[in-house]
Amino acid sequence: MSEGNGQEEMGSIRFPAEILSVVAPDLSLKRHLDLGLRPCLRKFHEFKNLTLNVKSGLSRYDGDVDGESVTDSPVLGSSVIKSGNTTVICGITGGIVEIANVSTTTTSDDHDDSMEYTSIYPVVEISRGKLNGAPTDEEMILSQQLYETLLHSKILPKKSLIIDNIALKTNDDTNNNNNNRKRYAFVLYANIQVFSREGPLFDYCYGSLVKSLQTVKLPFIHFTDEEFIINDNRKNGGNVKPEIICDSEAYNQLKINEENINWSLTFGLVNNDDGKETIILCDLEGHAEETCCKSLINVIIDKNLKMRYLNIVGGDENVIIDENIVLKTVQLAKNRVNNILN
Amino acid sequence: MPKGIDVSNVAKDFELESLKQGLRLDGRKLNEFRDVEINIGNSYGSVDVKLGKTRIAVRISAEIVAPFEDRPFEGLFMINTEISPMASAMFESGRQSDEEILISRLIEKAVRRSNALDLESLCIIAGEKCWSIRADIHYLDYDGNFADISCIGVLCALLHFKKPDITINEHQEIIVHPINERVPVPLSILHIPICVTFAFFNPNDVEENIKGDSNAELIVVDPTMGEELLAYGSLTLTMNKNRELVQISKAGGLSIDAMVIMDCSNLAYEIACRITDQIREAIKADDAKRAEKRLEIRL
Amino acid sequence: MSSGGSDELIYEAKLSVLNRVDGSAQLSISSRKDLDEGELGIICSITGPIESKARQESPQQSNLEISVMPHIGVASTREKLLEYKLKLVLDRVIDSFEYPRQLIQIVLQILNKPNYEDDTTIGSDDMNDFFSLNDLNGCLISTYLALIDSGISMKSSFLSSCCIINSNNQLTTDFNKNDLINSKSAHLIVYDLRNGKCNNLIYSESIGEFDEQIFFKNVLDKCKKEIENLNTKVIKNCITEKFKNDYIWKA
Repeated sequence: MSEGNGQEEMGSIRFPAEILSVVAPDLSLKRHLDLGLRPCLRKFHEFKNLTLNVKSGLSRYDGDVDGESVTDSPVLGSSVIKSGNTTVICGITGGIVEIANVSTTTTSDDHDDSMEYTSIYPVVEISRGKLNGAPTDEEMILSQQLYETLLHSKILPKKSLIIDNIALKTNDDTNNNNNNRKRYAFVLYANIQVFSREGPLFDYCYGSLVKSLQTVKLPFIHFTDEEFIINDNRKNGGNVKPEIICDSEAYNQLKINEENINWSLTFGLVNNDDGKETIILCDLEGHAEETCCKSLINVIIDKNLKMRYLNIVGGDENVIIDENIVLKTVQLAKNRVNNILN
Repeated sequence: MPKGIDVSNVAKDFELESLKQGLRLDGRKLNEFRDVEINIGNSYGSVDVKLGKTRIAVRISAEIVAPFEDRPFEGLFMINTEISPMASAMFESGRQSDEEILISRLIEKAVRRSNALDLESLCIIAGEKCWSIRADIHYLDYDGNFADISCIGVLCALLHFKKPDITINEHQEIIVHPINERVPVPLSILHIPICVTFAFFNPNDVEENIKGDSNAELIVVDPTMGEELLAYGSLTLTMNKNRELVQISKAGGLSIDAMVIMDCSNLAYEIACRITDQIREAIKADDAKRAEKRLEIRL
Repeated sequence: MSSGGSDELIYEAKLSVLNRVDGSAQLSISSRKDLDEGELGIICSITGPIESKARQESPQQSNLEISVMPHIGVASTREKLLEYKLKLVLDRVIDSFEYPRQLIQIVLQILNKPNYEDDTTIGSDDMNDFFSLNDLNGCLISTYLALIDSGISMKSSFLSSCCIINSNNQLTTDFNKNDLINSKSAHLIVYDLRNGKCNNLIYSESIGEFDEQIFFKNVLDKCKKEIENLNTKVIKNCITEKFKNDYIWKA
């Protein structure tokens, strides 16, 4: 609209692609989709490049690195996943707890294999340039999702963590069983660091977690009478007499249920321009895709290409989620998992 | 940001005038405590209490843990008094408001420090294993006087709660028997402290109160939210049926004559007796109901 | 208080139970067969739209603050995840463009859990972590009722249902802890409603061994029926009762 002497004219503003994706993400996405592309310049069903590395050199038992045998690192197993620009490093550490000498009288009756599985406790840290801060909502949610997913996948049996061959280091077998009736078990923690976050992270975090688990080795445990001096700032800052101690060399591979190893994939659903067709986007990347794909499908498929988990979020009311779309998505997922795990 | 509720000057004057004439907005007399309604739930240690419109839910849970190193013969007891925005928009989630801190301290003194729950009875294996009892108070609706209702709720729930029976076998292992196998064991409650809160109003000017002789301060028992917002200070007395004063808390506010505290104590004692009886009645009625149910199942 | 349900579950719902908030609802779900199991009791309160803090403000839409409080203990990451899932559904359903720069505060308090999960002794078998689907189901239904009570604008009605397929391949909405843990698969389905019938799938979460056929043919059908049943028998009566009470002074 020009008024008066016609000096005022409305023109269009041009933005470079990255700025447009922040200012008007839906517009940016639409324009790309019309061309058959995505803002990250991949095709709709094209996944990001994925590199899995399990010999990261972080773990205690990554003996072949540098020709050194066992180091004194606390990491029992680790893995590094690189997908696109995002790097996820997962390190698994362990602790030993006394299994409470508490048992319920019905344990022998309703034993079912489902009760026999446990999970590990992950803490996710997404590096955003802030040095220290309380875990953000996203980190807390990811950690909880990882914990629950691993638990439901029935990958880690409780039995594998129970320590039942504690030897007495002093080779004195007489008092072995009677004195210390305490039973111990390992507890595993996972520390997952994410660098260069580009999109939804659950898939990579879960993948790195599962891969690390496959490399975890548990050290041998001994009873000991030794006393140690620890710099402890609490009142016991002096001599500590732990009853058990980890062997510095010997270890066992952690026994996991290899059959149930699975992989997670997240897809975004978005409508094309005339709203008639629903497009499935693999491996969401970038601000535009992440904010505009409100409808998501998350599938977890195991080695035998069986579905173990399905989560459909219909956040976008214009995208109608019906049987066809879900079946197509699951098929894409199965193909991808076949390539990764087999 | 959800702010505190502001009361208009008109409302303030109206309420003060009514109090001077011995009337309260909900029709009670100045020394009248609201009716307490106790609902006992299905599981042990689960109690809902209503004090007028104020409403809370209390849940007791038990866990076996290692005792503190410096107290190997005592169990653990903790009370959680987190107030959520459900009670009222003036409470923020995640941040402890001043109200919350005061209530938390009050309950701490009245219930924990007074040893209402005998901690030594919670010991299982000295220095190694003990019961840790946890009381979670969920504040559902706020109409004043969270302190008193919290105390009533926690005590009622503790009296109702039963922990599973345990046996220790020869290998020093603890076996916990499920509730349907062996009759669970009630907690050892040594006395029942009941908090009674009084709110003060100043009908005259500040100077009269400090320098003058007239002691015209108005004291009101069990303030509602409207009264709490207008009050100049409050006093909480905790007494039990043995006529023992468990704790007194008067945190600043309007200065009152010291003799008034004696009168308040007497009033508090009567109220404490009545409420203690009511709590015991409720527990007895629930026990009877459960016994009947067990008979029915057997028949 | 209005109650009813299917042949497997009993639902009891009541609106306007709290005084200091804009909308509230109390819901309890219990098993019809096993009356001793106890109930899942949840109370939901909604305050809004109210003024939001500057850092929470959104220029064109309203902001949702959801808190879930467990019945025992303090809120942990488990509740954070429940809040996240609730937000996924509510973002789709609440008409956020109607209340720009405002805050809608939703608080859910879990009051009771069915006895099987309500082991007041937290022992070495803390299976509470195993499934939070049942909690999510209760939270969704009670939030829907509270939203109606509070008068917040919604784009559509929604309801949810939770079911399991047990080891005998039976599909059921009535299950206890052992059933849940030993089940082949567990499903939570949320649909939006139109004219009393299920319309579009809003949210679904399925855990366990199952395949696509079972999901689409059996699970969705069962949940649709359960939702429509819940809607006609319980929700509608509940809302009718609320209106009767609201208009009680009408001449």
